[in-house]
Amino acid sequence: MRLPEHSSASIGRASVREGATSASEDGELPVKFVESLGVMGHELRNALSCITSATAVMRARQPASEEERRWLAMIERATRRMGEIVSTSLECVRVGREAVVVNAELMDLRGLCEEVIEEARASHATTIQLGAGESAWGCWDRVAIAQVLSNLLRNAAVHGGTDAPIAVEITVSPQVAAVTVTNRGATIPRELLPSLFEPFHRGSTPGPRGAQGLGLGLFVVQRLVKAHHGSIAVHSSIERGTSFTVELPRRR
Amino acid sequence: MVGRELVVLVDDDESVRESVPDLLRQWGYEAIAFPSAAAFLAWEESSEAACLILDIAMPGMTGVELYRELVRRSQATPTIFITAHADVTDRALLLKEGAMDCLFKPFSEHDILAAVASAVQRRPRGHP
Repeated sequence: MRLPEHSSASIGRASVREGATSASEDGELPVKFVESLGVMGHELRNALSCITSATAVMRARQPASEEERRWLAMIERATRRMGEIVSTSLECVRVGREAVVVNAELMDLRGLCEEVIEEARASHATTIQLGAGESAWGCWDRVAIAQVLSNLLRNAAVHGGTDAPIAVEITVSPQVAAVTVTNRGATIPRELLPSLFEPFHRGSTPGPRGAQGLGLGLFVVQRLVKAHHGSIAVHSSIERGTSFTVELPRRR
Repeated sequence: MVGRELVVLVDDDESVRESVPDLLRQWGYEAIAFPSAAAFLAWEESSEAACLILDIAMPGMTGVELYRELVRRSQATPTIFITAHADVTDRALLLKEGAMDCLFKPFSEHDILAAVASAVQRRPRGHP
């Protein structure tokens, strides 16, 4: 497939896309759909608890052969992955149905970034570089912004190249703090950009790491950023890689 | 391995009742599971538990209601709540009410065992 050399899109207060096939005009998901997703997520969490406990018992009893150890590791990896999918689905339930409540507090965006990056390095076994810079203080919802960063990093880990690190840059102006997450994976085709933040949007091909999510991560990001009166922009080119830039007003 | 403290799980989900007690037994605990708060309350030895693991959302009496009932009966046992409905606000409230911990499913082996180890140490003296 020939990829376009340059694609970009911006979604913010004035330009949040409307008319998505499965979202209402204000970006909310249909109530019945969200309720179903919630019920399914909770039931899956029970099943995952069972698998997690059972595999822990098997590991404690020490598998007899190398083959059994390999199968067990495979089950554990798949279980972690399912857990991530369920968590993202339930996050979508939380933010997809009604206005997102923002519990703003004075916080340092750079400090939070460092925490989330550390977790992401462990989860995704990938190299993530945070550019040098100063603290970025502002009033935001710590849990929500951590979710935004986590989703963007996961997206970059899934779709980025296997040999190039993910780059995170933070810039600050008197009014706005911005975080840019860049990966060096395949560029995003221009025709996919308008639907990038719609729920259940998935790329046309899986990333080099194979697994794709449900396509809810960027939808959740968009909802949380919008709740902060912020904006998110995407730039994708062969020369510069694919960047997602989130801009957040420092005061609400 | 640890001692043979009795850990009681109350959860309406059969798969959780089947798996978590096995994990606890693997680490040296006695473990027994009940499918509902009513079944646990009907058990004559309910006061013998060194630690309770209660699912929050259950049909009939919820895990939180069971916990409050036990407190009302002066039968408070160190309690860990488990839930598939992740809500950090609920967690904060439960900890404020005296719960030892509140874990979101699927919890890791490390998290549940650490919580149980901590809970059984908090059991009031005088119990067997």
